[in-house]
Amino acid sequence: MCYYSGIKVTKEDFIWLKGLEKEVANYPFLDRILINGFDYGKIPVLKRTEGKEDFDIVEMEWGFLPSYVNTTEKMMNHRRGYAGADGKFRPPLTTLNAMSEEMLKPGKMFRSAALTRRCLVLSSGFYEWRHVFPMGKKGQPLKTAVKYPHHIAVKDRKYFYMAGIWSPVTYTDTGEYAETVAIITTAANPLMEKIHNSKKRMPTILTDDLAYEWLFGDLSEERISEIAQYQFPAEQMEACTIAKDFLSSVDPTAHVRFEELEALDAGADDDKRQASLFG
Amino acid sequence: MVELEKIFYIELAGQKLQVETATISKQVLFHICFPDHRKPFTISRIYSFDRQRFWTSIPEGRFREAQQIGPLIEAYYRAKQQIPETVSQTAPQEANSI
Repeated sequence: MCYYSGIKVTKEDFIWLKGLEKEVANYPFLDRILINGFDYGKIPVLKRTEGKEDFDIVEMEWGFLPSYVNTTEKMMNHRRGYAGADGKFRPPLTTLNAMSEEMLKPGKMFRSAALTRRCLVLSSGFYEWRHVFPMGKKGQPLKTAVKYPHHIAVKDRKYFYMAGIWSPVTYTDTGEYAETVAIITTAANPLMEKIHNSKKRMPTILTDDLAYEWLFGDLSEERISEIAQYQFPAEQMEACTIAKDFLSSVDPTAHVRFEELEALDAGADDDKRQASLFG
Repeated sequence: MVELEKIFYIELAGQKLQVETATISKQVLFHICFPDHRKPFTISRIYSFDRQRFWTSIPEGRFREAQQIGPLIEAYYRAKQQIPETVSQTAPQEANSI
């Protein structure tokens, strides 16, 4: 007789459970609740196995660190900002995203990674805010926008790929090794133009073929740039409004209707949207 | 058999826990993520030697948490009036309903 978690089980079950443990250890669970970029938490990434047409699913810190950030102090300064010698505050550098149109330009911190360390960020959906400027009493738009959060996903896909680039870092003060990643962004498609109407950008979502090419292809700079700027079709995406306090809600993807908000149309019919991405 | 939800949320002591469902080797497992710094872990409901069913972590080591969270998953489905059936490794003829 054997014991598992202190409970008596058959030998057969014990062996089976031990085998199950190994499978559980290798299963690509998401391992993280709703991911907020500014937490610099870890996100699931498909990283090419060196020299092979194969990949590992790993977790990387979302927030690309350039090679000159090689101590934990520099990392904190980079991400949180710091007071310079003159007492003035140096703001943090936000490197959650890399602009596809800029990243390959000479001297850009993302250039080397775009050429040699491309990866795929696994996503089930993402969040953006639509800015709406209410009208004032005299009929003029007010200066302060009301922000409506949206959850955006790819139709009929539980997971999809975003183009990414990654960077390794070994902190010289602690010896700790980490991998950091930035998500590539491109110009918004018609759906995302309406939602992310303040910046009109969107992550570079890739088709399966482009994802394969991005990860494994021996690509010219021109082709890297082309793929990085790929605009995923709006018709294949879906979006819905969600609670303004979704970051702390039990189901952040739950659809919430705002009566005052003009409905999104093409490609984003709220009524057709599933109540949950995973529903 | 009722289709299990891939990801859902339950509440424990005012905290939102994320539950991710997976079926591995015909066994339904629930992977729990916490909003604090507790490490995620996986639980399942299996049979003891005398055919009692109990919640356990897989791997072993977090039995108490499994005992605490497992019933919340049952309650979640009961509240939705969806009692999912899982398949046991030892008794496929006995639907291992939660």
